[in-house]
Amino acid sequence: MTDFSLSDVVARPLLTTDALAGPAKRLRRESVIRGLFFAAAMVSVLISVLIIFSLVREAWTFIVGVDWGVTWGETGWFPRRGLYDMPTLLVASLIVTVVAMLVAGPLGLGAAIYLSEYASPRTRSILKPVLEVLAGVPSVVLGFFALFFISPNLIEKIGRNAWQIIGYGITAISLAGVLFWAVRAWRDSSATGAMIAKRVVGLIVMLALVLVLFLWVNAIAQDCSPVAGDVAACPSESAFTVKRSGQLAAAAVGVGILTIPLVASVAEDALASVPRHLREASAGLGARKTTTTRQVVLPAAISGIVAAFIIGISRALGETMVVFMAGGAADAAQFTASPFEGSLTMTAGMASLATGTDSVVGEGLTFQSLYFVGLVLFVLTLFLNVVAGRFVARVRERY
Amino acid sequence: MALTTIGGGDTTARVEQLIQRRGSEQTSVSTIWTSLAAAGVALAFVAMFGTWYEAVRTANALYSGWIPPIALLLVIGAGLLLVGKQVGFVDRDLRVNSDVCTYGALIAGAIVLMLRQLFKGDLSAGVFVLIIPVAVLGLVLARSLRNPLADAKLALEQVALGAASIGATLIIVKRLVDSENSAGGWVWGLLAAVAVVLAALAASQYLGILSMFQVVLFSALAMSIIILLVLLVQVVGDGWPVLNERLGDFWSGTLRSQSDDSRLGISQGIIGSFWIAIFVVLLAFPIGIAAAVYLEEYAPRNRFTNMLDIVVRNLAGVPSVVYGLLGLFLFVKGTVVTHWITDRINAAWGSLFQGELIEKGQSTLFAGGVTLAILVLPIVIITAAEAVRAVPQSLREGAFGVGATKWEVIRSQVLPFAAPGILTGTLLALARAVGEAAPLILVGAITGRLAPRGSMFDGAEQFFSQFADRFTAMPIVIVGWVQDSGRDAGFAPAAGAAIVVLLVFVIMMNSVAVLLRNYFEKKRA
Repeated sequence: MTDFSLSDVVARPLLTTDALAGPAKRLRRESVIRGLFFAAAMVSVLISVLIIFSLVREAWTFIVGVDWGVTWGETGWFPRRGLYDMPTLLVASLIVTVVAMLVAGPLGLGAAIYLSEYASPRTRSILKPVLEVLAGVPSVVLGFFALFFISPNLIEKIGRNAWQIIGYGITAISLAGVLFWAVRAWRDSSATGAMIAKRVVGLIVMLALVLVLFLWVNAIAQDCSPVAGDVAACPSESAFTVKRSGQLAAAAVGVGILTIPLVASVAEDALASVPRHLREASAGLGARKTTTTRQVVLPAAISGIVAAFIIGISRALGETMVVFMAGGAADAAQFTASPFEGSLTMTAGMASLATGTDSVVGEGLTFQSLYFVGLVLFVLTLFLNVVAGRFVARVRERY
Repeated sequence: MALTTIGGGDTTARVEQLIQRRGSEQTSVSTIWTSLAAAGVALAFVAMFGTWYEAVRTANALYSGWIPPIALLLVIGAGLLLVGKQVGFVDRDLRVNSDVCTYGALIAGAIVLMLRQLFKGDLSAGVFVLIIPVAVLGLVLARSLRNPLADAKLALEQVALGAASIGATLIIVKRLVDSENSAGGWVWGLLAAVAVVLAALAASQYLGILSMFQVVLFSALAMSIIILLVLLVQVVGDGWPVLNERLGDFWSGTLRSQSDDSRLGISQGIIGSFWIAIFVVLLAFPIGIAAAVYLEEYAPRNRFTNMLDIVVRNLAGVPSVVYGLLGLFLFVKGTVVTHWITDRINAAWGSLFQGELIEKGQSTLFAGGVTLAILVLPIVIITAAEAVRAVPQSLREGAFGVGATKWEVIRSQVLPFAAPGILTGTLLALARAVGEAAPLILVGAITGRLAPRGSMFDGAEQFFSQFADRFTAMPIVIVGWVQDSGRDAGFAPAAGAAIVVLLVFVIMMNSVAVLLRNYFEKKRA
């Protein structure tokens, strides 16, 4: 018993790690369950592979088989007649995305800043769920709303009276500016008599200027009025030719409304990740809340805000039903670059191909064109999402 | 150390206490007023919305101008402020108290709507609507007289702004009454803009915010909410005739080619959406939750897991039509694999019943259900993974400490703790699936007439064959009717009514999810 080695002890222990591991049945169950969970996780990989496979396979048939002359510079998108003019779809998608972001960008960002920087916890707890309800509204509902409300009440009016609206808009904004200035001056209790007199004179002059502007715009507008006017004196009778019941712009506003909550929530996350001490330091230097928000918080969160916009663009590009219902074009579309006409975006083009007749399999490459457009859309949105992901990651890394 | 005791928690707590006490005193004084005013406002809203529906229903001309929407916006904006103040989201203890402005805008809006009714000769409705604003006005006057305004300048401001906004509204009303379509009719546009500017000024005062920047931000948020309200009002208003007159028939009716058919209804859409929801629950939920558990609990931190994570995130961003393309490719056009599976199923079916179950190249309920389950899978995974991530590490360690295996820890500790979060995510995903139309259109859901089939309770053959049959769903019914409204205007109200039914389900699921989440967040915090 003199050469007592380590191996002896290890060879005959009372309690091994095997003994601790429990019965083999239990271990087997563990590995089976682990396998099941792993398989479930792999389903998403399988789906991705299938999506790419189906898109590329059918699109490849199209790419190989199509006469490329009919995909560029034709009169429009008429897949059932063998005309696959891509610019029609791309320009329509561009218009819808731009207009949608004009709606969703400012509103979403404004809502995010207000919720994150100004709202009291109580306000937040009331208003945030309302935004979430808006996020849950199905896109067919927005399609209906865009077609029956936004189109006749907003877009048709804007399209016909664009010049007048611009004129009156400028007038109204100047008036609002003057009024805000006046209120601020009125509140200034430190003003001396001379200053007050100056301000009163200033106010009168400004109001007079606004009045002149108003009268001038009004005179032009009266002349241009379709009822009583001298049409020749106008820039044009109607600013744009406006299609009735459904235009790209109406659909775009609908898409924008759908995108507001998404932009707001991503932007709010970005603002929330800006550390508190930056705000406190700014306040400590004597900055007002507004200054802090504009010059400290927003620059610090800029990556996340850019990400919010990119994600919004990607969502707007991929939105189908609103454009399909309110975009003002069925089956096929003429090329147009006007938001007041009807046309088909990439997504709506796909949806309209799939409805109407019972089978999508039409003449020649109709079915494959669906997948070609789908592939273009998939690549675009994937690219945007990856870029947005980079921006989000940048905010996370920084703080 | 001494500094912390003096300047730290103690003082802050006392200040907060003081602030709170002050708030509660004020609340107790004005409780009666608050409740009375809130009740009055609620009644006024009901009455005004009712009038608006009537207006939409009876004459389209009423609905065509700028005015009803703008007046409505004014009313809604003012009402929001008012209700906000009553429920306390606006600070009570403001330097500026401009009740007059807000109530003024509210009442002005009401008067506009009322005058519209009066000039249409609908006297009783007008008088009915008039009673409530007058009552509210009385309350307001009484209240503002009791309110000791220290600053005469501010009082003057209030009166001026209130009078100006009411005046602007009256001018609009006059134009409106004078002539509906005279030359330069859209001068109202400017006047309305002035009224809106004044209302914004009143609102900014009311909220105690003087910075333009803040006004802009708040109006961005308010706009989003107002859009939601207008949307709801519009949809309910459009669908009202159908909902009001024949909800029962509408519920049990089927797709028809004429809108005046008394058997027009949504039963097939409801059945289709129901089965799609079942597919989502049975396929997407277990797989999604299991995948989330794998990603959070089992997956080693390596490059492969990272890739898996990226795949899931990017899948969530893929547009829904692309999933439709996938469904079309897999189930309708078919691949070698799906054809093989179809043949096996048909053979099995032939040995049990007669004929073939699945006709190749036909869109089926099964295809639609599976496509939507695939669509929501990434959403389920992401939300469930977040919920699992939020489970405190100490829970797991405790369970491991008493000898539980990984799966036992997950089953007994992780999943129960994460259940509310997972439930929220799954509810949101379900709501998304029920409202989604684009993939179904691609897969080939039916927008036109759908041949009625036997009840699904007529035995196993009938039950199973419905999954291999042509199908439709609620959103698809809506899309079909909206398109049909081009040739038969009667389909528009039907679509509105169907939307109301769909929205009731979807918003219910969404709000339950949101409330659940807020409740548990608060409880755990």
